[in-house]
Amino acid sequence: MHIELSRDTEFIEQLLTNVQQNQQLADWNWFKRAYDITETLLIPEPNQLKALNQLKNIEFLPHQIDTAIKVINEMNGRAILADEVGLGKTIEAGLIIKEYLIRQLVKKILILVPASLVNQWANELNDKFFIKATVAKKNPCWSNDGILITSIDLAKKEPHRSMILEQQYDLLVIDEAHKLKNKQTQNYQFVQAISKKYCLLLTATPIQNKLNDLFNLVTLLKPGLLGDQDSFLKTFDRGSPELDHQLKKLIQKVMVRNLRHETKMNTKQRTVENITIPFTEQEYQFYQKLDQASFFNHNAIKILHLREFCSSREALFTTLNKEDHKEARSLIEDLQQLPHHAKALKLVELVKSINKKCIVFTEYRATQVYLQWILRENGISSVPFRGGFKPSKKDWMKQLFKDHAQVLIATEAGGEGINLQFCHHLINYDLPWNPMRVEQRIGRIHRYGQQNDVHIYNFSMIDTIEDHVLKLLYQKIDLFERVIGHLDQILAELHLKSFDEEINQIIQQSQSVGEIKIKMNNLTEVINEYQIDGDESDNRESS
Amino acid sequence: MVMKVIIENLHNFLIEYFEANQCEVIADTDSLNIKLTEEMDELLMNRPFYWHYVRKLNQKGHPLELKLTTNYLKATKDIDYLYFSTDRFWKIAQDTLSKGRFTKLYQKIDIREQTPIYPWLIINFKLIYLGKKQSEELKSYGIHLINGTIIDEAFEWLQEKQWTLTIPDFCYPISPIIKPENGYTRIEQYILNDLQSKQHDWASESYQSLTEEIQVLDYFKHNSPNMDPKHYQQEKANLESIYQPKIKIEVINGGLFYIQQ
Repeated sequence: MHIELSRDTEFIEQLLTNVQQNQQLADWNWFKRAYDITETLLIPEPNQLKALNQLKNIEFLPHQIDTAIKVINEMNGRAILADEVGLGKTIEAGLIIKEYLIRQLVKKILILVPASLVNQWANELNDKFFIKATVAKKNPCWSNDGILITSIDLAKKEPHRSMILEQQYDLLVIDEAHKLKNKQTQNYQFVQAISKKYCLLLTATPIQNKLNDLFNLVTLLKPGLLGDQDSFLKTFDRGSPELDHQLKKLIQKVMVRNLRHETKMNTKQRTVENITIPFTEQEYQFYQKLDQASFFNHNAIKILHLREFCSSREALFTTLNKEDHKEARSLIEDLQQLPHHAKALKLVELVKSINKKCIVFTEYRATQVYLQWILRENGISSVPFRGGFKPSKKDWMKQLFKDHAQVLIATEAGGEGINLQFCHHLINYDLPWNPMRVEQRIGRIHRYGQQNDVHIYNFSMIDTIEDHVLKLLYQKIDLFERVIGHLDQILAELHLKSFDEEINQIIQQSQSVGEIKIKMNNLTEVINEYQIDGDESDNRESS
Repeated sequence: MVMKVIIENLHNFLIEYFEANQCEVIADTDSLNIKLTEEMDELLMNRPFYWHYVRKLNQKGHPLELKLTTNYLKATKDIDYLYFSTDRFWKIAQDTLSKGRFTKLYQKIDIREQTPIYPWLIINFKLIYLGKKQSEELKSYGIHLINGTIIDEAFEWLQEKQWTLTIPDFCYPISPIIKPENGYTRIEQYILNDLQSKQHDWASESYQSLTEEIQVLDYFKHNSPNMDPKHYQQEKANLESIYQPKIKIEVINGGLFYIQQ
């Protein structure tokens, strides 16, 4: 064995020059200060994280700290982080990056994430970890040291691709790494060719299920750990408890997967209250008239309008106004005669009785404006929030909400990228078609850092499309009482397209609400059955 | 072992730091208001273009006022958060290391008769052990430049005394017999001997892992005829950079100290 040694060959010469010329000589205080700083920043123990001492602004959860220690000390910086959604994978990655930076083991870092998350990653690293990362845009300077965040789509294009492949990275981080499971793809081959010392792959999708995918991901990290592909598949494809055990042991060398029920996340419960609201008679008459209108050339459009009316007069008005038809104009006239929307009045009542900070989600911009107005009429302050806001405006609104307003009214697209753990009441003023999107909404507040139990309120108008379809959908899938997390995966395994598309298809191809109900029922049955199977395999995984 | 934080009170450290840099500091319990000098503005405020421009026009620049807190909860848009984790602290640390790197000091003694003071070379080292696991040690050595005695924990010994940049009255410094550069070599040799006499289990473990990792990689290469030879070499080099055991001997600071016998 040979230990490499490096010495300081310059210091003494420089000292003697300075002494001779009587320049840059420190007094005792400066001399001592330099010594103290060094001692303070020293990395004393292999099994501790220096970053924890330095990041007093974050309260890490035990599983996050354990994960970082494990990745650094046992896995030597090459790992798959595969926690369930919402447990803070990005936090774990950030902590690991920070620790390596502090230890000066890494200088040059490349972070590849989906294009939509590039800014969020940059902000999170900066705000929480004080890590200055550059977002690579048009002409990034790949050869510089430092931390670059970019999307894989940009990185794999020439001339970037060749430039990146010439670099030696100290650390490569890939978010949503499950997209790299197929080794035939350009993406896979590109990532494989990048030279990296340490490597973190982040994925929320458990990868145990398909041996091939598993092989490919692990091979990115450690070629050879699972042998070569042929013999790996031959050996493990037969599947026996003993082989499973063996495989699991191999995988545990490179993968950390924390499950929600094993972590402290469990302690904050969510309660769900479904609130059904009757239309006033006048409103309901209008609803029926809209339902019976004959001028829509497509059933799906009518359903869109009905949903809009369940949200607010304003939401319907915006779209109905564009229809050039006598019947539509007559509907608009009726619409203008209607009183305040029953749902909005219910919202005012609920917000008053909660008397704490609330987030209200709506699907419609027009409703957002209306709600802000009616809340103000009732002496309740609110701020709007939309996905289209610039990051600085988002931060400002978030701050306003935190310090001054009782209510934040967000539209759908605003659901991503804001974390509002200081609030624990969430009102789904209207519900999106896709339950995963609701999960994302709830994820804004029911995530790590939340100190209170989380209360969710779901609004729906009695005897309307909202009531029929959405309630059915959500209650069947049993979404709110527990965290689904792997609905995406279930859909993929069932060879279903996205939830939105499935539902749109059902609606477009159905002639009546009754038919929609039956088809929805079928869909949810299939998912539910699958979910029960999935749960069993989940238990096995954690045992 | 409990992790040591020597600068326990960063707030007080910062007050001293800025005052030592000729900045006016107004402090309350958890925030600081600092009137920066030109030098400090350039170091900490990250506005090189401003200073470049001011100099080009031959004008007098206006250093900013900086408001800081080491309490995260007290930070606002106007009061910047500064802690060990932030970029600005990193700059301050680098600046401190460079300002405290070299010295020549005399022991401050109050005396009425002619007294000889003897030359010592004191060097503070950081030893960095790298491999599977990393650790660091701070070591302080001194060598008597007349008789060649080497001591460790020299810094603690120095801390007990008082120091001045000028020769105190009635004191006369003795010229070294051992040249400081030779003194330095002797200290280095002392460290190397010390390292050699120790068992380095951490290094054998790390080396063992390196061997295993390369075996796994070789097996993969052997059974994957399509593996790009360049990729193989790259991967091997990366494994070596993680696992190859290394010891780095870095000088933190040092200087000549004249001390009463």
